Amino acid sequence: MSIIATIEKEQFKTDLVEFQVGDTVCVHTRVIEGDKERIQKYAGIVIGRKGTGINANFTVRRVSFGEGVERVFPLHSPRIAKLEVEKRGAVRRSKLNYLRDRKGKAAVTVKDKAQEIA
Amino acid sequence: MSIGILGKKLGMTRVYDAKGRIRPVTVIEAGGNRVLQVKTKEKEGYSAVQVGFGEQKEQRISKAQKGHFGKTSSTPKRFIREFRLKDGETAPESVDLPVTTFQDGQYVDVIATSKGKGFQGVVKRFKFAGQPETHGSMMHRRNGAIGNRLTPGRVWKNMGMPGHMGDERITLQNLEIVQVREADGVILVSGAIPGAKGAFVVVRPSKKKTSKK
Repeated sequence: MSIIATIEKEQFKTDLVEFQVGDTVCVHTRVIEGDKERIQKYAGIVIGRKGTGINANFTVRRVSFGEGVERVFPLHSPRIAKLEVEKRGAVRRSKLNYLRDRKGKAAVTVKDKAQEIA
Repeated sequence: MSIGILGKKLGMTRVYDAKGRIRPVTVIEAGGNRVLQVKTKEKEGYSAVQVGFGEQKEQRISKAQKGHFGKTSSTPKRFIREFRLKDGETAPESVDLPVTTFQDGQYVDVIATSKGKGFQGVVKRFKFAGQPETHGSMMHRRNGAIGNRLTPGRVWKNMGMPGHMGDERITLQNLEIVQVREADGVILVSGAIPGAKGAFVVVRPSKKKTSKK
């Protein structure tokens, strides 16, 4: 294995939770304030995954106080303490950018995977 | 100037630092550096250390070179450079120069040959703005006027004109060493460095900025 691949592999997380575009997730991020560290939760719909290896990242969209917010997280970032999948979504696109144009309840809902199967 | 080491650019990647921030780094292979000759004021007229890096096939070196490498019982090296020593500085005792010559957090200068771009126009080469693409303009990426009139009656020096770009010696100063990996014989330098992958580079302690620690 090349040295670059080895360096990247060292930084991969081993306890990655599997999730897909359309899933509703809760990202526990480490926030450093001064010399204190605390956990901040950020929950929303995964609207895209991008990149491979150490460059992999994902975008989480939520509507906060009527304002759409998107955050991009590097998949292997040590600042992500934990990632929880709250709901599996059933979508037919790799990027859910259409959610940006939606208003109200439609902007925060994707089909439930469990329902799709049933 | 204190002594540096030679290496080969392997490529770029990213690493997370202690605070969880991403740092873009260039990976430089720098294992197997060897002192080939110590030049002294008495003998050569100046004091310096000659360092070699990278293996060369025996069939590709002349007999004279073979003798030179044989003096320090070194294998033939492909990339050879000299580091001048200031008055009072002494040559390293060991003939091997490991990557641990540098420490994490230290600042270095990196010297390399940039990628050749061939014959380029002024827009790419000197960042000229060019002329309008539309509105009847029939002059798009030319250099435009290069002078004035009777005064000065000549073209100024260093006027940007088309010509060869790239493939020149570039020195980048004050790059931080992010990681030294002794087992792999590799150092990770913050940011990008000149040249293509596989290009030889010189890494020396920074002339201007000293280490954080």
